[in-house]
Amino acid sequence: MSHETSAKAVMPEAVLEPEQVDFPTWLPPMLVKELRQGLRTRRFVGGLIAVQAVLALVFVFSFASEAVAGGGRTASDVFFWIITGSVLLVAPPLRALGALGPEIDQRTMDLLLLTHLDARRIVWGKWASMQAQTLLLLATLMPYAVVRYFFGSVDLVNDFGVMASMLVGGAVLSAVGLWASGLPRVLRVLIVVGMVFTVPNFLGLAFARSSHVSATVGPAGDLMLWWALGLWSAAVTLLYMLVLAVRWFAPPAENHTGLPRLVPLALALPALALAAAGRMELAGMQIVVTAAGLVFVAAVELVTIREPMAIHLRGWQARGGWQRMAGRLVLPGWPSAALWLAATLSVFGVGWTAANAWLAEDLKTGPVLGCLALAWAGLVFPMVLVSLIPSARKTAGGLYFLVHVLLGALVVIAGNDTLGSLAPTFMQTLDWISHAVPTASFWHAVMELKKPSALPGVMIAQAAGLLLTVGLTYWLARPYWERVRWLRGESKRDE
Amino acid sequence: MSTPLVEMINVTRRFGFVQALRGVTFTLERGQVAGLIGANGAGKTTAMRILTSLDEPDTGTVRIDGIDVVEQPNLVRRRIGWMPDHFQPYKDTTVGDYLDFFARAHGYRGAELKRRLAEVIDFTDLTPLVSRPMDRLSKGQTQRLCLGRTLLNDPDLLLLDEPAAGLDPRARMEFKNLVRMLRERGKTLLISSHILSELAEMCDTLVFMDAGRVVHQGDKASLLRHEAVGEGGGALPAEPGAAPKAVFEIEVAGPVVDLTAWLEMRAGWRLLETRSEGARAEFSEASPERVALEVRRLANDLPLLSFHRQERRLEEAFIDILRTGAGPRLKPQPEMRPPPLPGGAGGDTL
Repeated sequence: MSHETSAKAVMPEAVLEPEQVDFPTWLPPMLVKELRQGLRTRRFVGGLIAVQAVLALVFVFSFASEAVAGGGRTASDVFFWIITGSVLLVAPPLRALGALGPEIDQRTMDLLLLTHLDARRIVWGKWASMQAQTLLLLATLMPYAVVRYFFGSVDLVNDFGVMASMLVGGAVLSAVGLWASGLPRVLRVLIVVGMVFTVPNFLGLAFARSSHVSATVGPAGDLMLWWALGLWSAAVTLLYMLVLAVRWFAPPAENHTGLPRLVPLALALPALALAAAGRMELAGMQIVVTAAGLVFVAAVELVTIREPMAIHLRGWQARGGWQRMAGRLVLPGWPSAALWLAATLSVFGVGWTAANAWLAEDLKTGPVLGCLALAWAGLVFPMVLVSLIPSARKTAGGLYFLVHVLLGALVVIAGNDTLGSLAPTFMQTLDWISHAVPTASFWHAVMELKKPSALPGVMIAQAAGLLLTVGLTYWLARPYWERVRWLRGESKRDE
Repeated sequence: MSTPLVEMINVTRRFGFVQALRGVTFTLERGQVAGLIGANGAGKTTAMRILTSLDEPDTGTVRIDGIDVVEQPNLVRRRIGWMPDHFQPYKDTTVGDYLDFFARAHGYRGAELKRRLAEVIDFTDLTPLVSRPMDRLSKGQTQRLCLGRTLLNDPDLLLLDEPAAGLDPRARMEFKNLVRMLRERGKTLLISSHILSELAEMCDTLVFMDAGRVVHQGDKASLLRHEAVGEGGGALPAEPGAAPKAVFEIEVAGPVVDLTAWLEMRAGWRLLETRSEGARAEFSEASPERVALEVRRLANDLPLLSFHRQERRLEEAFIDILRTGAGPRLKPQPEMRPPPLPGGAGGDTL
């Protein structure tokens, strides 16, 4: 061992020289590290060779068949799209599913966190590296895409469109996989199963893009609008999933609550623009997408068990007034999430009322506002129940989901006409109860937007359920807000 | 007086039903080499992970260079180097790539990056291994690589968790030399181990942990004198005013049974071990005058051949502290605590 303590050492620089020319120094270190590792893995090298070997064989065989008997194009087409779909849509999300969890479990992530890299850069570096590797594999497929052109009957523009949509889909699914890689193994398996059903659907959608969409949306401008809406929603989803993944291992002192609560609201922006342009059908569709996203976001925010710290309040403390109030909406913990959800739904309610007045159309403002209030209660009520169990911190997500399933089942059973004819009194009582219980009452309200319930006192029951949720939330969240007040005092003292 | 570099005050940490830390308090001054010693499960790794800001205490305060590790982890992380007990090498990565990545991750670029890498590689003698895949290194080489990574950001404080575990004697010696050189460069080191003798030679101060508590802090001599740490880190005698204990090796010409009988009759003596020509015994009031008196009496009563004061073994002293419960069991200090939340503390997501 050398025990020279001199600052200058000549030998190692020379040894390191060849190692440092593979990637430029201006590239982010995390991306460089992931690419260096990723491009050397057996999975990548083996995959690359296998793809080339299979496609080369299939194309040679197809050419031969085409020349002899015709019809070889179909086989090459099928293999080409299966392999392209696997490379773009299947492999990246599956890789992403194992990206963060093992590093957190083996504590190799700890060493990264002790550098200048923060959790955000680590997540973005991993995701970017996956996309870079996917693009590299896609580039190797390009010669085959061009060769297909010589078979004839190939619409290159359409093919590239399909590839682009697969690429975007793969990028979004990779982000989902990256977030999901922090979940317990059982949930990861469930997500893979979910992907098995999602990916073929996505492939189908991608192929149907030019024919079905253009037929339904009409002129070419509308097609572009559909594309723009799809891309916007994909970009928001991707960004949201990546900021959510950061939370798995970011230190608690960093408050990563703001972005995950704000980013999904961007889904609603195209709806506003479309409504202003009078494209109510498309606006309605985007509102449905926004609502679905908001339900997911609200569920994640409510079940994420984190506690506010004095440092989270310090930035908002200095601002005062409205901004200090707004700071309460982005604190970690379910009471703040409930407040944020109430504020968000209120903004939606105000927007809907304004649209109703402005557009001079009957947008059923009253029932929609009722639905929004019941949606708040429906999403918060299961967490209120879960928070009554002190030891349920680790399993809050599972229990929250279970309560939703049970209350959803209540709605299904109560609305079953066959059972209703067997025991009418009992089923009517059950129906009435299901209208009163938050969450279940929300689903009723949504279903009854078109056909109001014939039950007497439904609105009273729904209002009672809503008030119960508000009361319980206020009561159970009191210690949380007391703690926030105490921490505010602490942060003032620190300043 | 300057602020200590490391302050850990009244820190508790619980994992489920296991109370890993129970009011741990200790401080380290700049430039000190400190040993954190305790059996497996004593709480050493938990304490070190809290110091690195990779884990958070349930209660208590931890500061590095005056910065709260919970509130400002990013500032703390730039001042420390952490070498964990468990090292998982990256697959498909060479030693050079690994160090290059971490140097970049610490913000080095261009000529500065090369210079820093060269310094670290030279210091840890990794030059011949630069092109070798990480997963083909021996244990000693891996530890050197790990130490090299830890040194890349030139940290003020180095936290080394069981760095010598599993090393052969040569690698152990090399590691000791590295620690000596780091001390010469003015670094503060906290090294954990469950092997006391390994640390005693290279450390200025030793922090003993048992069952999540600090039971002793002081230098090697203080341990041998059986001292216990007091509040604020100062050393106090276990029994104020009492003479220290000492172990003696005694040889007599006659039957050993006479010697053991003599030791049992005399107050203050405790027989530790019987040998073919004598015995090892502990004397509880080993002031020079009392020892001289005992030697004269022994020489009068028995044919005394030799009477040697034996350096007390560090392990014995440590076990003695644990057995007698002489550790401080620090009184909990009053602490400002936030109102409790239902469900207890923690930071789990989903």
